[in-house]
Amino acid sequence: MSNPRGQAIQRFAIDAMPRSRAFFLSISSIVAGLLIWQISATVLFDSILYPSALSTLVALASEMTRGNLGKDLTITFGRVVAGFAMGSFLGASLGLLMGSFRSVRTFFSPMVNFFRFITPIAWVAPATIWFGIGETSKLFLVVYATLFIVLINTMTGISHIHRDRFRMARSFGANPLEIFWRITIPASVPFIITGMRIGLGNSFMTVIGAEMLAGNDGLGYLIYSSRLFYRSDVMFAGIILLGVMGFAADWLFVLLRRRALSRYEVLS
Amino acid sequence: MTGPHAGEADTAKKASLTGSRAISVVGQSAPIGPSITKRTLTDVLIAVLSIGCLFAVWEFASRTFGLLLLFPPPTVTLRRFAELMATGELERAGLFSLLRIFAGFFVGSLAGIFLGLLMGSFVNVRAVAEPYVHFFRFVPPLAWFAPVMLWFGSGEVARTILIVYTTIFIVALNAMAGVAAVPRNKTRMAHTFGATDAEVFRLITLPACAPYIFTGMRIALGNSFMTIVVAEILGARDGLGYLINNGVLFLDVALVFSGIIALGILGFLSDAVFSLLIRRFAGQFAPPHSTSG
Repeated sequence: MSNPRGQAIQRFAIDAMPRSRAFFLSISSIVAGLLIWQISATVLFDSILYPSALSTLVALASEMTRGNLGKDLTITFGRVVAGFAMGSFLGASLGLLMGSFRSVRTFFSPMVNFFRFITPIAWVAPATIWFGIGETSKLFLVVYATLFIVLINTMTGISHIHRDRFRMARSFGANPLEIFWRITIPASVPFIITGMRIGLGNSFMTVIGAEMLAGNDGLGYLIYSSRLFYRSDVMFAGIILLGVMGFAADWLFVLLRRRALSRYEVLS
Repeated sequence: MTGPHAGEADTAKKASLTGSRAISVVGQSAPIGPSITKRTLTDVLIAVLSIGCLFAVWEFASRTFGLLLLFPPPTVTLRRFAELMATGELERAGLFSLLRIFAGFFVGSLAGIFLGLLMGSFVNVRAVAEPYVHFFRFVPPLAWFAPVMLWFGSGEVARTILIVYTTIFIVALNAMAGVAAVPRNKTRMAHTFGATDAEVFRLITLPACAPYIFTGMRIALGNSFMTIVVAEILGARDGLGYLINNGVLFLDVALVFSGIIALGILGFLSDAVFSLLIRRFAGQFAPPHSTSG
């Protein structure tokens, strides 16, 4: 209390604390959380409804060694990757076209604005009727979940390019193709990447929903069907795996962005 | 040469201000040519043409391939939509879905703002809470559906909790980012002029965070629509998700389409109303350009 002003300034600064102390606090917070989980599960609740940290870990290990969990994990991950890649490609291409040509933009804007407000999950129902519960419907849904967010971000990126850059290129004699290749695409890359990162999160959400509502494999199905067998430990193992997978995918994405695309000045 | 350009820029700005959505702004390819009124008229024509094309292709596809049942044409879908509206079924379902979303969204936003501001302001809180926030934000709300149903049954509590979960982390992270983005010199200046911590928070941190918080809330609102559909399909007696699921069970695809269209309209309207409310009542805090899906 001797120097309240000084303390106040320190407290508002993010990097005021030594990294080691922040790290220590985070680690002890995780340990404390796990302990609270373990103790509350063994003392307070029914283990069928609320598995302890240890039994979740055991379930994770045993399901992993039996190969169930690994299989579901690969299936879900494969679906996300395939749909995400296609959706990003389509979204970026269409976004570049719409951003560059006024007539294309005007033509497609009403459609895009209509469909982007319909959540991908809502399409699970028709997709199941049309394509069955197999891979086609999952692919369709993940593409849909990625496409619009990437498209809209790409267009935003193009609209943020300063007009003078186009004017400059033109006065130096660049033709429209060169302008597109050398100015439009590089300048919109950061926005495309941002859209893709959000799209990746949406893809995970959609695929889980689709597997829960209409599917017979994948992590979503595993989690949801464990409920029927009262295997809440398997359920929790699936949830934790899902969190780890989402985290890893996002981390890989950030890494890739930093490594390969740093010259495009991607904002985080 | 400068005259018409300046005029165009102005109308582009006005168009964006009067709310024709962010996409239709800024034609950067230095368009020289027809007058402004002529161009907006062409735009409207092209937009009408676009919607017309969509409907024509849709109608044509379903009629030629004889898929009236599996892929009902717009005429059939719209008739079903009107039918459902007339009986009040659709309005009722929409109202239920909206009420659920708003209840969860409200609670989740409040909690998220509180948590995010705490995490942004105090390094200790941030160090303790960050691992959890970063873990849980990668676990989609839908994954919690199974445990939540085990614990709370398939009632309103379960659905509200899922919406709260959907909202809280994205709002918290945005609020935290908002606090982190407050220029340090601003808080230093205020402290130098003798402001207390509480004053700095109220007069500098909070206003500076507001745009971030609003952006987070807008994304969360969109995601809530995703969560509610699944929550209602998997265990509700009303709401749009339930309606859509009924359509699947009875192979009434027109009903499914009507539900989806209603969902899209509600999503669009709530997003528009949210943006409007921000601009009307908190215009100075409105995010500069919001691009959420």
